[in-house]
Amino acid sequence: MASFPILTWMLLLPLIGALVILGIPRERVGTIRWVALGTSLGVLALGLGLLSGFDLSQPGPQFVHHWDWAPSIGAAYRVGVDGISLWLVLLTALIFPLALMASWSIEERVKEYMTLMLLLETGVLGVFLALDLLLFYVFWEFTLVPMTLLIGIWGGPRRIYAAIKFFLYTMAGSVFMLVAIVALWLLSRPLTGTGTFDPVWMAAHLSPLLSPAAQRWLFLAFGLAFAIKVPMWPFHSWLPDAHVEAPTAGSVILAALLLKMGAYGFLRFNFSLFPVAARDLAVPLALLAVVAILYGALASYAQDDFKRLVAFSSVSHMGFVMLGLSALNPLGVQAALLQMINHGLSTGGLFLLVGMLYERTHTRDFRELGGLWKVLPVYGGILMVVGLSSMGLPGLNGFVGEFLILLGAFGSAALGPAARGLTAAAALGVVLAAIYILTMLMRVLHGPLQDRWRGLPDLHVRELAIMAPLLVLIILIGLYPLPFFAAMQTSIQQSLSVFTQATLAVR
Amino acid sequence: MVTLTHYLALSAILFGIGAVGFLVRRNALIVFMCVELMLNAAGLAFVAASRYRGLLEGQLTVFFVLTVAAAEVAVGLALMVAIFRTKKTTNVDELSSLRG
Amino acid sequence: MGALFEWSWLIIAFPLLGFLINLISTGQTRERTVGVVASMAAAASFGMSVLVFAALLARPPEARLVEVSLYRWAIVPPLTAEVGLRIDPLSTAMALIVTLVGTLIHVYSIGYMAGDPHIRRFFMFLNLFLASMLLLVLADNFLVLFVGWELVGLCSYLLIGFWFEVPYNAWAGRKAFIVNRIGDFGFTLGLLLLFWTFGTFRYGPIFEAVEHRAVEAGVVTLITLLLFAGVTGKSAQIPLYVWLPDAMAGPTPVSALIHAATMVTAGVYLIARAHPLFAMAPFVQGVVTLIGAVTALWAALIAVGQFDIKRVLAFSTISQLGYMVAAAGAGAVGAAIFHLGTHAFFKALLFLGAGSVIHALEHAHRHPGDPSPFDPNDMRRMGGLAQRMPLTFWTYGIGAAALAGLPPLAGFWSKDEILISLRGIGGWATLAYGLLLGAAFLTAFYMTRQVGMVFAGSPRSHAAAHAHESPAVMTVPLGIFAFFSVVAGWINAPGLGALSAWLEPEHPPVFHPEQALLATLIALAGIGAAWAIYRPQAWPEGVEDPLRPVLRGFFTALTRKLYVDELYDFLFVRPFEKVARGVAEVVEPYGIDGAVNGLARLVQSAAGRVRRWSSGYVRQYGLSVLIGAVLLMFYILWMLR
Repeated sequence: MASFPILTWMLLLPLIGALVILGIPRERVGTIRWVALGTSLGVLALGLGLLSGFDLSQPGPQFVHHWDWAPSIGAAYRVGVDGISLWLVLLTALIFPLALMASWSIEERVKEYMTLMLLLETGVLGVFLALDLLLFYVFWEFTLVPMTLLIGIWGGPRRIYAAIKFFLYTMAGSVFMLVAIVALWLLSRPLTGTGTFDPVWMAAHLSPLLSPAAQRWLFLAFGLAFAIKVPMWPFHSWLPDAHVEAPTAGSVILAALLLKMGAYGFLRFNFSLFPVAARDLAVPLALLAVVAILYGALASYAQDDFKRLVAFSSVSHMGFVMLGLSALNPLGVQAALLQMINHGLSTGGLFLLVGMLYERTHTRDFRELGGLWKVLPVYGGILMVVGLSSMGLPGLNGFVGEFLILLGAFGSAALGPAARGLTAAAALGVVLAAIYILTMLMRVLHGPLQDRWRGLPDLHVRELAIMAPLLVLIILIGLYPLPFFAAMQTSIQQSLSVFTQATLAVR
Repeated sequence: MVTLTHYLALSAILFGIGAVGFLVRRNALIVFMCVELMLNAAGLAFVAASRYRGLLEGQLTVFFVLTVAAAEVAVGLALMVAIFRTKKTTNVDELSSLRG
Repeated sequence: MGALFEWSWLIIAFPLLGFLINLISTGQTRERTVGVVASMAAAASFGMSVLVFAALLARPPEARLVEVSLYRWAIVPPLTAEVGLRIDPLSTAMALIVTLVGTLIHVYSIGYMAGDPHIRRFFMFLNLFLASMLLLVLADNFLVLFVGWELVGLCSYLLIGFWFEVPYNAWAGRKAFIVNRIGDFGFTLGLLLLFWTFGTFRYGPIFEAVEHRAVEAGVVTLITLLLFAGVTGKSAQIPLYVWLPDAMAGPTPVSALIHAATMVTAGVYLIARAHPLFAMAPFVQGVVTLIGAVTALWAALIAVGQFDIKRVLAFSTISQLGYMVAAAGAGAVGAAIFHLGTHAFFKALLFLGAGSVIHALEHAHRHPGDPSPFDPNDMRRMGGLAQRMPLTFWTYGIGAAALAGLPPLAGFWSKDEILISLRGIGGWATLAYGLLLGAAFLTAFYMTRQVGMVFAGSPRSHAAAHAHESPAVMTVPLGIFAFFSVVAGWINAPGLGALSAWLEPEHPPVFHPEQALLATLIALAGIGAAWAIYRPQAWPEGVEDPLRPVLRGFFTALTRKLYVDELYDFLFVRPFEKVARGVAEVVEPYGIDGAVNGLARLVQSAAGRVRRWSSGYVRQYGLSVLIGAVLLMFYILWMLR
């Protein structure tokens, strides 16, 4: 296994698939779809191989593949997977085939669409796998282009506005990250001669030398890029537009994966590189997270558009993730990481379900829906389960994440005296989640059925095949989260221990 | 005795003619020739200075300048032909489709 | 015998299996099969509960605690959460009540729900409910209890809104879930505090720590207060009782099983289960007792003004839950569980009797083909059903008498025990005692009113005149429940005291003849007063309710449930919607997105000015270059100076 660069193959496979698709005549839509799906399933297979070979006891990166492509400036191609990125990589490998299956209904420019999807897959995987700041930045920006095009070409009526807003907003944030990366490289130059982009080396040798003020500025520069991506309140306003206009698969990938890149960035870089700043800024971070939880939930309740409701619920859920991260203790951080997966499954699932409904009714307006459980019993049942998972019902995955995040934040030393008040406010978000999710279920499924919806077809086999893996995971994580936590345990413990040492050294 | 000053003065005059021509003429072809004139004025200055100081770098640079000028003319004339085909004119005042 | 306990998870697994079987067996299965499968699953669970109970009974009293660890749920330092069961007298007693009542109601539902197109879904939810309730009861830690607690809330939501085509039903289900979640907000915070105080969710270590006074009393006060917030939601106490009356939108067996006999008692069970914690917080005990007593009186009062046959019972349930909560708060766990058990039987009986009446009226109404809207729950359209539905009448009468607390029926004994337990504590408990006596009077009053309106006199509608007795599959469970409503009280009657011996061997039931006499007299007074007003001879034709002219405006207030729903609507619901609309329609587009788009516009207009520089004329570009070059040259010359 060690000699076979499995991670590099995971990155290359979608690129190869994209090249193959470019060689297929554009009329052969069926072939193009199957090649794309086959490629992404291949990535999933590699991902499962990764899981089977993963060593739980090892905290550091595994399956590392290293190539010094520019030793003169200390930049390297270095990919690896550890307990922090493992589940996100697997989530990516899982979501893409599902999103591609959900794209079967795309009829125009299939060739370009599938090519972009595969390019996007490489980009997202690269973000989670990169162990070099420059490489990370390249992949980070690389995801932006296909996503913007997916929104801008296959999107809804206001797609251009949404695509440009998405592109510029995220770009504006990542510029600051680039500046910070260059700054870190310049700072590392006197120590190494050539400078380096290796975050592990920086965490060990560079961060302790940084002054608290420098740490704070760099934290904020990285943090802005990540905060926009998460999105944290008040940087979230690109999200509803992008979600509403994006095609179904775009929304799914955006919610399930791209948002995770922001939270992942915080965990991977901000906390390990700037522990002192992280500790100092934990309370403001948590405060913004709590505002996001409540704000997203309130805004979500007042929507009449199904997709917009789910989009705002994302803001609320990602608030929980950020609250867990800012707790800076194993409970909060592990639960936050699990909640990222949960959110990918449940919100991704909700977007899929919205898309399936839209393909039938051609409307997402609650005022025109209602009573659909009568004609769509299977759809209704699945929407119920996924919705309940999203509102954190015990027995399903959402509860595990949310409850343990609250548990972690409640006893967080980093949040100090503010911990309990913030947690109590966040717990109010759970109540609000019940209100908006149950209202959504009521407005879609319950009530009298309009005559024009009589005879709508229930889910067919392809759609069931899309939802089945999500449902299995939603229930599995809810009932038995132990293995999911076990895989991330050692890595997170290590990253947090580095963090506490550094903090103690400065204090 | 022709001194360096003479060469430089000639170079300056040539450059001035080129610059003024570039600014006042309308025909794209002439504009081009003026650009060439400016380039060659610079080349002359290089060669003269090189000879004066007994160094080879200046003369070498002229080769580069000449090469670039040739390449530029090739591209520029091709563009000109293409533009003339579509717009039926070589008057630079009528070509402003790159306006921001 | 020990091996049996290892299998006690089957109590939960059987109904879950029933749920899964009915989930997988798509549409083709016959309607009857679905009900039978579900009922057998419930019966198997009851059988297993009996076995476990017997096994526990065989042990000496001090060894009656078995903890069965099932699997590790999550290990995230410092949390180690396991799913385990705690088999002890309290949990087995609850499991027996839940499975027995549950099984009977499953059987009854086969008849009641016959012909419903979604019967499969109904039985699935019923099975799922049973499994969740048993998980709640048998859990060995607060976290798993909370899981069951929320899942029963889910089933309640699904079943209230079972006939979701009617918007009111869906709305009522949502209301129930949301109100419960508001209570669970407190519960959640209580759990968080509990964990960071004790470092675990497990009952055993927590109770041990409390016993050794290893924690501060102040923290425990806060924890119990927060847990009690959850109780007010689930067990429908002031201020969160408002969901239960609307929960009657669900099918009647659901009202009987979930919203009377089992789920709503979960709060009482929680107080009983966490009794060591509550015992350490006398302040909270006082609060609990008083809220229970006030709720008992308040709900009994509202019940007097209701016309919906099930709604009267719903308020009666709230009131009786108040009794249990008050007793549990005062530390009388045995009395609370005793009343929980007897109440489960006679209230299930009353609901099923009401279901039988509704069922009969619906059929009689539909029979003549009258398409006009008709509310079969409205007691004003009933009357004279005693002759037409004798079995229902007699069993209902027994249930009503048991609820009113007439000796020697079940309610008499358990209510008596609660009242006795509140005496002699002093302070708030004495006040609660007085309130509960008042509630007892009102209970007898409204039950007599209901029986009078439904069964006595002459029919007040076409449907009531043509009603017939329900089929045997419905009346047989009525008979069984009637039997239990008579005898269930005897298991803890003074002298016998089996339940107390089981639950708290050190506290045998006491009996004060003067207390029993007082309670009986109060009940009789209530019955007498109601009969004086509602007997057919005193009730003139055409008068909606003879009490209305007596109480006037106050009666209207009672029928409107004392305007509490309106108050909450004004205080919470509408402000919430206003805030949410404000966020979505003002703050988001004009505030946050406005800032973003404003910034974009600013950049755009600045760019618009710069743009004019690029005129597209080669000449201008050339001049710009030239000027730039000249400036650069002067700069260099200046540098070299």
